[in-house]
Amino acid sequence: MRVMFTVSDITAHYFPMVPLGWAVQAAGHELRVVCAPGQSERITGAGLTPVPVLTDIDIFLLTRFYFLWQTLDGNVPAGTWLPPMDPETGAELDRIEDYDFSALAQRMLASEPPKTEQRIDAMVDFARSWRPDLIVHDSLQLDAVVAARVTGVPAVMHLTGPTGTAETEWGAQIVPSQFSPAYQRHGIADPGAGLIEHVIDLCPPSMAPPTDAVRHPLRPVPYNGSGGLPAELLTWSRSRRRPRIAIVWSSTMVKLHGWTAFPVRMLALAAAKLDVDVVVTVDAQSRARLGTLPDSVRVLEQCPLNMLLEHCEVVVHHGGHGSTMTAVAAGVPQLMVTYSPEHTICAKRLVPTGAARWLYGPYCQQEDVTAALAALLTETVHRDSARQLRAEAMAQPSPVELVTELADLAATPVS
Amino acid sequence: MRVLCCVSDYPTHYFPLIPLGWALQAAGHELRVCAGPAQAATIERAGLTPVPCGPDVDPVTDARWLAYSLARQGLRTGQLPPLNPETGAELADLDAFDHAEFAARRQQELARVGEARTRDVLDLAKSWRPDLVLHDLVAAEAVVAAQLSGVPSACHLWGLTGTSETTPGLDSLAADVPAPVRELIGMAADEPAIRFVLDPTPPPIAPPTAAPRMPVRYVPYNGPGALADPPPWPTEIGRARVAVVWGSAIRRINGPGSFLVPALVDALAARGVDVVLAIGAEEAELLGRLPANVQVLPQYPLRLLLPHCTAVVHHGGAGAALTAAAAGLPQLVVAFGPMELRSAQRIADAGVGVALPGAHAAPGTIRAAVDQLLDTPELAAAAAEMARANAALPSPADVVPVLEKLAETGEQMGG
Repeated sequence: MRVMFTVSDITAHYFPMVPLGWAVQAAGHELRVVCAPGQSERITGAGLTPVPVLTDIDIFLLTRFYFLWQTLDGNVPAGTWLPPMDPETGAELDRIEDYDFSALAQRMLASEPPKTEQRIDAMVDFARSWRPDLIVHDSLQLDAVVAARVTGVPAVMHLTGPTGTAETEWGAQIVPSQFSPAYQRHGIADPGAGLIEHVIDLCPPSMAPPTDAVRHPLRPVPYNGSGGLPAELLTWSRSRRRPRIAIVWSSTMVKLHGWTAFPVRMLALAAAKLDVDVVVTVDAQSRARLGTLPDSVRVLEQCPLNMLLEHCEVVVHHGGHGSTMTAVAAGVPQLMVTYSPEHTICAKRLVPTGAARWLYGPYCQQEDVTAALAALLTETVHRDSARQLRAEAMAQPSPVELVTELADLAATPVS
Repeated sequence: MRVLCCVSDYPTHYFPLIPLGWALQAAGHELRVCAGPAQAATIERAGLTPVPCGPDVDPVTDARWLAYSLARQGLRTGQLPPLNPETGAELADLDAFDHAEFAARRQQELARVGEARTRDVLDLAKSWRPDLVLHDLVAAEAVVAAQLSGVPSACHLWGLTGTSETTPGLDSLAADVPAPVRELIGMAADEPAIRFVLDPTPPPIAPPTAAPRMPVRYVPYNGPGALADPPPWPTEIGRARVAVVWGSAIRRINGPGSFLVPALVDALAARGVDVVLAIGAEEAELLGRLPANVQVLPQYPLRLLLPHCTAVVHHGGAGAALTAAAAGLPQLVVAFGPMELRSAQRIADAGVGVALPGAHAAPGTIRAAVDQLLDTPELAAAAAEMARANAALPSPADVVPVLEKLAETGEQMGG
């Protein structure tokens, strides 16, 4: 069969689709990944074939704009930590009242909707000419449903973690409330109802997110880039004598919420209070922010998390779906220090399983982190629960097995 | 399970096994690909995880050395005169090169590289404890690693060259373990180094193998690249399109006399077909002004080009031959080296193409071969049949359970 993937403009949302892409290709099916040019290299670098026909969009600008707009409109629930950022520069705003939001809104109203229309039309055009049997899209590329409706094939949304399509809390809703005029132009009069009919869900049942769509469970196979472990870490691993804690932090956090949402130095100092080794992975730009750290802390740039976690007992992260599902698949207990509402929801789904502890970043102190880490290392409930959750995850169909299921779905006439 | 894979220093030697790598990863297994450091980026961009081992070697030097050695032994009659193996310069005669001195030095160098690479592979095997070892036709270090780890190994062919070839130059290519090393690692003198073969060549062109053979559907992967939409070639309906694939190594191994692209272009352009030249930029510069129906398309993945062609002309490389086979195209193989000549003969014998020894081929001979390619409908029919045969073979994903069983029980695969 022919499978069309279409992906958004942030790797965190489509890297979880990569193993399914491998499985599609390895079963001898054809796969094309419709994307914007800015994503092309990441997609070829995963072994898949991009079709870079979509206009690039700046997802950080759009997200910061959305957050600021929601803040100004008073839609952000009380108690939600969301510092106002300049949508264009990503700098923190001193006084929100001084910012000329309406000028930006005017500019964006002129520049952004045409991009969305172009993207929808380009997806439709490619689907019409290539005639896929199935379209799989990530959760930010919902507009793919238009191409699926127009060509009469099923659309499947590939979820990234424990956020579903039927969320009610602010910050977690995947389905937008407003749609591009392109929907109507392509004959979709009422986009809202039953827009998402199928989801691929990486979550084991005990942390499954709410959805009204048909759920296709998939075993999480982490893909965080293909680079190997640094030789230094391999050598170090062979000689280790005490537990190791990994601290990973997404560069997206700083882009969306500023350096206040970069507590990595505090986390490293908190971990170093224990009798453990600590590995911190950050990007090159963030590394300078860490300052001098104790001898027991090693800092790495760009290290695939799934490979790192083979050598770690506990992982600390920001509550992102990629880190969460990688830790679930590795069976490693997690400390989630969250700032964003969506990450907090992710933590709330994990904590009841026993495999994770949660601290709310904006109010969290170094002593809280040390205490939580000590508990994760010593209380067997966390280790056992993480193993149990991993076993549950591994019992789900592998990408190879899901391809057979998707081929059946593609062969079923769309009602 | 954990699968350790060893490959040699030429991407087309391991591109055919990339889809099996995807299949293993998508089935939830772990894979590490050991290769010279220069291959790491190429492996990583295919979506697999490289482990750089030992220093690099330049396979072109050894291909030239083989050509020179065969000429010295009188086994290269009718071919182009060999080049200086070390520099690639043309030689006035065979004695203009100090072979004894070079051979002694090169043997020493290759032994040193082989030792270093084997040591690195063994280090990884010791710490990572693979359940199975895969390797390409020549990566002998894999056999040593499998023996010492006490796990099964399987050889994945790269194309139309088998494990039991009798042609001079190919007869000693397949991975073997020298007697002193066998003694050292407890491997019986009469035990075959290659015990199982995974063969991605469709039956009519499959090469001879001594070990039990498991066929695998060839799924084309020829390196990273995006799909251009609309296609980067003229799409006038009803015109035949012929691809000319010419690797840059041909000239480096066989000298300037082997660059037959100008004569091929003349012959094809005269036939009024559209011609797409899949050649490197350096080769394109040698061509000068091209007829209007001839276009150069560097760096475009063959797997995306060939399904839009009616026939293909190439130099006998495994990637071009197998991608053409999967696309069901008749092939004209213009070959120089012993491996390419043997492949060309297999393709001609199977009735899916025309073999043309390239040395001293006159323009009239080249025109006749092109005419035969374009005017023999039986070739196209047989090629289409071969593509169906390929598509009917077990996919890489189907082969994973066979490898799981091999790893678990050591039992022979296939029949």
